[in-house]
This record gives sequence, C-alpha cells and structure tokens, in this order.
Amino acid sequence: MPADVLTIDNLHVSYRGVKAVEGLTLSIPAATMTCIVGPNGSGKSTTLKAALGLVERTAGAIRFFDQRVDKVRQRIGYVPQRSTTDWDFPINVFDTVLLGTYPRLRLFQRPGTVEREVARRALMRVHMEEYAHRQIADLSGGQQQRVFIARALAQQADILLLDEPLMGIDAASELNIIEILRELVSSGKTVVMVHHDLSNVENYFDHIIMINKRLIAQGPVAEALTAQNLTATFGANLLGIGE
Amino acid sequence: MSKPVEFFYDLVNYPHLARAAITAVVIGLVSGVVGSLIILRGLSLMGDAISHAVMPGIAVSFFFGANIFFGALVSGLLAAAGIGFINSNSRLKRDTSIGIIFTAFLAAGVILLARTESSVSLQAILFGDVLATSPSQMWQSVIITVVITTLIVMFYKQLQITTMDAQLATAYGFPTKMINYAVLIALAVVTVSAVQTVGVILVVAMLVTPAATAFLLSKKFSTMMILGAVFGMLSSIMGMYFSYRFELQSGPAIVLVAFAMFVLAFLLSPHQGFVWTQLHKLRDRRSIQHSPASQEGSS
Repeated sequence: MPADVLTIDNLHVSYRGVKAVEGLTLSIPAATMTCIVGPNGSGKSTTLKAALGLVERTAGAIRFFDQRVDKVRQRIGYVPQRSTTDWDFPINVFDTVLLGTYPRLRLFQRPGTVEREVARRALMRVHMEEYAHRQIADLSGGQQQRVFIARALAQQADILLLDEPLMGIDAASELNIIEILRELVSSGKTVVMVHHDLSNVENYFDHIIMINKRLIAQGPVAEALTAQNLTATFGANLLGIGE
Repeated sequence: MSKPVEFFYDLVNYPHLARAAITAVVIGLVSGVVGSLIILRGLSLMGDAISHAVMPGIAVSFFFGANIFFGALVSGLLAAAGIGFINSNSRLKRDTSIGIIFTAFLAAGVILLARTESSVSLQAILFGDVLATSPSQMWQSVIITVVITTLIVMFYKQLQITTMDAQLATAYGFPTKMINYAVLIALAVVTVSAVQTVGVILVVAMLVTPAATAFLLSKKFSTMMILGAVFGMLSSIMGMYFSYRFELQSGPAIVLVAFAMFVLAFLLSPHQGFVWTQLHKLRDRRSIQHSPASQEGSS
C-alpha cells in the first residue's frame, strides 16, 4: 500500500454560518488519479481550497507529504476554476505558463532561460505552442484550460489539485488533459480532481472519493463506485433517473 | 518666439513654475504606474474614496500645526480600513461601503475645514493648486515617486501574479493579503500627493485615465505600467503648458489632456480601438453577404 500524500482529518468549514464541510476525513494515496465527486454544494471545491489554506477552516488537520501545507507549497500544483482568473489581464499564453515557475524563484529572482525552457516544454505538451504569443483573453474555454494545465506542469509539482478542469470544455481538450494527467500519474505524481461527470469516472480515474459535506466512501473506483454509495452521496433520485 | 519655447524659458527662469512642472510630472509618472495596478485590481473607486477622505486629515493637521501630508494619509487609510471592515462584515457590495464611508469623511472634512484657520482654501484642496507648490512639497513628491516606483519594479513578479489570480498566488505561497495592503497604502500615498497637483475632485482621473489609456494599447502588464507612466507625465506637462498658454486652472487642464489621450486610444488602438473593430465588423458583414456560400445556406 503506497503512502498517503494528502490526508484531511475532521475538516469543518463554514461560510457566514452555513456549514459547507462537516467533519470530512479522507486520504489520497500516492501515484493515483483520484476524483472527488459529490452533488452541488457538497463541499468539493471547498475541500480543495481548505486543503490549500485558501479558505479558513473552523477545525481539522491537513497534511501534505506528512507536513504542513506551508512547508511544501512548491510541491503542490493547483488549477483553480477558470472563473477566478482575470482573463482581461494583459498577458500572453507563454507568460501565463511561465507563472508556474514562480514558486521556485527566490524573492527578487526573475524567470530566466531555464524557466523559459520549462514553460516552452509544458506548452508543447498541451499542444498550444503556436498560441504562445496570443493574449489569454482571445482563447476558447478548452484552450484556457490547457494553458492552466501547462502552467501546472511548469511548476513540476508532485501533487496536482484541479478544480473542475473539464467543465465546459471541448472533447479534444478533455482527452488531451486526461492523457497528460495519466502520464503524470504513471511517472509517480498524484492527481486529485474535483469532478462532476459520473459517466466517465471508470474510464478516467483509478481512485474515487465520494463526499457530501462528509466522507461517504473512498477507495479504488472498482470497489467504491457502488449503487449503495451513489445513493448515499447523491440521494435516491440519481439512481431513479438512471433506471 | 513660439509659445512652447517661451514656456520652456519661463520654466527655467521662474522657480515656482519649474517646481510646479517637476511636481506635476513626477506625480503623473507615479500615478500612471500605481493606476495600472489599481484599475486591474478593480480599485478605481477606492482611489476616489481615499482622495475625498483626506479632507478631515488636512483640517486636523492645520489645527495642530502638523504635517498636512501625514494627516491626509492617516485619514485616507482610515477610510480604506473602514471600507474594508464594513465590506468583510456585512453583505453590502463594495461600492456601497465606499459610498457610505467617503461621503462621511468628506462631510466631516468640510465642517472641520470651515472651523480651522486654514491657510489653504477649500478651493485649492478640491481643485489643486500646483503653482503654489513649495520646494519641500516638490521634494516630497520626487521621493515618493522614486520609492514607490522602485518598490513596484522590485516586486513586479509578486504584483503581477497576485493581481491576475489572487487564489493561485495564495496557493503558490505568495503573501497575497500583505501585498493587497501594500497596494492600498501605495494608492493612499500617491492619492495624497496627487491632491496637490489636481485636487481632491480630480485625483481619480490621474490614477485611472492614463492607466486606462495604457491598458488599451498594451499586451503586457509591464508595458502597461510604462505607458501609464508616459501618459501620466505627458498629461501633466501638456496640461501645464495649456494652463500657462490659455490661463486655465492647471488641475482641470491636466485632466482634460489625459482624457483627450484616452479618447484617441479608445478610437484608434490597433487591437481594441473602436474605429478598427467597427470597420472589421463592417468588412466581415460585407464578405458574408457577397460570398456565394451564404446564399446557398451552407458553409
């Protein structure tokens, strides 16, 4: 059994008195492609944000590589939802990917030849090299998401947290992204994705975490993705529609 | 002798005019740079609020014989803190908290100023009086400009990433909150110094207009800040010239020059200009109408 790279213990998060996550405990084994699924408002994105310290937690312990998150931020890649970025910001595709190298730079250090090479390769892996000098405002949704993936690749992180990266993008971009993430996992990295489309879970992922404000089930997809767990996560309706 | 040359001779020969010009130009520079940060971070209204909120500080400084700059700065920062506090502790939108706080500070300022034996008129505070700039005020502006511009160049990387995507920057481990506060303080410092040249009412124009002009013409954040600085300086010196040439108030003259540059960029910018985008639309419409494919109803 490989070591867990991320453990969350008894996480509680509230927004203005509304409880978004209530006592969530989960662990993510190394070198897995893991998805976090759950209904709307079940605290999927909130869990990722709380793990990274982007939202305040009421209680709970978070450990990445058995250390506090602030000690290992360089090793944690994050792909936020596309809506958090200012797409009108004056920057081109290449410089956006270059941002991924920033966590490794010293306080006043600017990205140099090494960083530019890393960014160039990351851009090639998502097949966006011809768009290098395009403004980010001029990209389609799928292209924007591929640029985000390239930026995460440029960070050369050991664990990648992605918040609904497949939402509203074209099929080609989706396949490209999944292929890249699977490559990362085969090379020993860990991928954690907040995901909403249950139809392709079995094809894309090997590990699943089902939550609804707290943990419902976790484990290899083949074992955990059962009708019973789905009902417990999403309620009876979901299966009713399926029948 | 031509008028611009005459203006130049007078700049050399009349120290008060030279002081005014130097002050206006360095404030134009720093406003353009800080303004670029401000408009990308959606803080334009915050700049407006801080500029109006300096008035009670100015009045209290007069009363105690203290340095006006620091009084104004404290007052402006208090307003910013008040806006932040209401914002994070209620469901009101930010523009509402801004409206509530800055009008209260402005009202208090007007009353306090009327009660103090101030040597500066309300008129000068509201509309600026750059020709009255003292040598120490000029040096203060120069130092502020040098310090803030240097800091922005040094921390360019941090400012760029926190402005574009604060969540990502926090996840990367950048001190996003501290940088936000630093930007607000820089905004307050620049606003307070710009009150001298263009006055409370027009400060926001110095911060927003040259930076917005630069935004329309830039594809990079660094280019935008450099162009913002250039447009800010040009607005200042040309505004000063028009004010000299046609005996206009200098503050409004500077702002109108900045506005004229914006209008030109808005109409003619190669990427985003109104004229080109309209022409492209027209051309596209024509080509669709004339292409045989569209008549057949297939592609």
